[in-house]
Amino acid sequence: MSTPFPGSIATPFTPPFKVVRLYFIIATITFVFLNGLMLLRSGYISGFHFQPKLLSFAHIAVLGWATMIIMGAMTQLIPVILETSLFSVRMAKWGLWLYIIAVMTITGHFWFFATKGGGMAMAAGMLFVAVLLFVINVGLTLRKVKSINITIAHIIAAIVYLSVVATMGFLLGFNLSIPFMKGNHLHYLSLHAALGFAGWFAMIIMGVSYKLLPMFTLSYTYKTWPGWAAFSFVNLGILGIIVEFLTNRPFYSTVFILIGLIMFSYQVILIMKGRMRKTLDIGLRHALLSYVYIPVAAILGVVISLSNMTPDMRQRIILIYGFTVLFGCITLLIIGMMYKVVPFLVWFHKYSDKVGKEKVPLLKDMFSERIGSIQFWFINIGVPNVMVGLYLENQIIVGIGLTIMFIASLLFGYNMFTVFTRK
Amino acid sequence: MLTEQLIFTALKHVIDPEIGINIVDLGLVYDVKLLDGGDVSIKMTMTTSGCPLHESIARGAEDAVRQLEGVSGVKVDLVWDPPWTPDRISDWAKKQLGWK
Repeated sequence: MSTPFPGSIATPFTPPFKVVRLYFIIATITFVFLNGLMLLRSGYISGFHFQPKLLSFAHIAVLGWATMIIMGAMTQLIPVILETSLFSVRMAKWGLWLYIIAVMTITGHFWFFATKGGGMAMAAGMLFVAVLLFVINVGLTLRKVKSINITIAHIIAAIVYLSVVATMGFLLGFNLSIPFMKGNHLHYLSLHAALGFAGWFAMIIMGVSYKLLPMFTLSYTYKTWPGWAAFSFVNLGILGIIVEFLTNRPFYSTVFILIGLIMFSYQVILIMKGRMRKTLDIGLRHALLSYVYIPVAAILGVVISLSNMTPDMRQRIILIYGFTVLFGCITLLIIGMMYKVVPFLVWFHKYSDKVGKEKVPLLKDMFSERIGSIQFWFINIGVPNVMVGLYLENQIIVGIGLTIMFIASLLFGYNMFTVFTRK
Repeated sequence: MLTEQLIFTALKHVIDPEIGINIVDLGLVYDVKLLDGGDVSIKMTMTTSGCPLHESIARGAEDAVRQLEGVSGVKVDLVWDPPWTPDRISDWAKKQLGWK
């Protein structure tokens, strides 16, 4: 009597390895490139935030690094978690190439601030289509969901916000080429950025954490109400951002978001308290550090929106806020999750059919934990170093911090290279 | 001679690659039945539903047992009821996970 596996394990839901692998490889290369570029042009990381080089840095970080990794991870994990097939592998594959071309084009246009000739509008349009393809693909895959749990609720919300952020980005890019928006461009830009950070990234970080953190730490006995409370408060805050944008009246949106993120932190503490796996590996150490930066970023958001500061101090805090969100919260979590997900992807591709037949490596054996630990401490020192340098407006301290971060990115890139090229 | 104890020993060679502990000590194997004619029925679970490793671990369990002498067929049933709880982890595995 030898029967096939019953139910969910009978069907391979995972999309082709070579498609998903591309997202991670290109994003990792982008991350190293970004850190190198920031180091070489560190002088531009100062002053007013709406300037070509900073716009380019920010969009390389959010699009070429963070969003690309999230897209790859969602393309891989959503079908597995939902136990269904991805709506279209072809859409994922061609959408990625269009996305890569669009990101390169738009960040190049930001860098040289090439707003004349319609190139910026075309790049923004391409990017919008590429993101839309991803949203449609994930959306139609999510249609098969039987019941909404806390992770699915966050992913659906994140996808909705991503659509809005991409639409606004398209309109803003178009407006830079062919002005058509009434009022101040920066007014729209602030909504675009706020929805990107608090909507797309926060929802993804929270939702994915609720699924992966218990799975990786073997934590199952904890209350989940703080997670739902966090979801409600952050979304109330986002609603407030939209109300403030439309009415120009204070809604204390950042305070709601802060409360939401404190509730999220409380949920993370509950998960960690209930964990069976006491030892923290390199991936989890990165993730936990990112959770420390999240309330810090949220407090900075409140300070920016509610306190009276000199314009100079305000600019400094905005820069520190953006840097903290991108490199403290998002990058650290992504690096942490990549130490878990990328080895799994490669392991699954190379060894999954050898389990039970021969000795196969553990996921932690797929890369150098020692290099990972050194990289962890480098990034641990580099990020706060840059934050302090930005506050003091001291280019030397910023430069030292960026040098340390660049070395960290090289070490991380090396570890990922080791995983992908494993024989 | 093929026994259920021997099958459990074979299943101990199936390691969860993320946790680094075998599926028996993790308490993932609910039941093993040695049927007539060398057929083996295994009832097991995963630490969480939607675990991306479920396919390879379940297949690994099947392959590990199939290699035993006297086994003619293996059926692996992946079940979610009762759900896995950490109480099922063996004392040895708890120590490996960092419990003192």
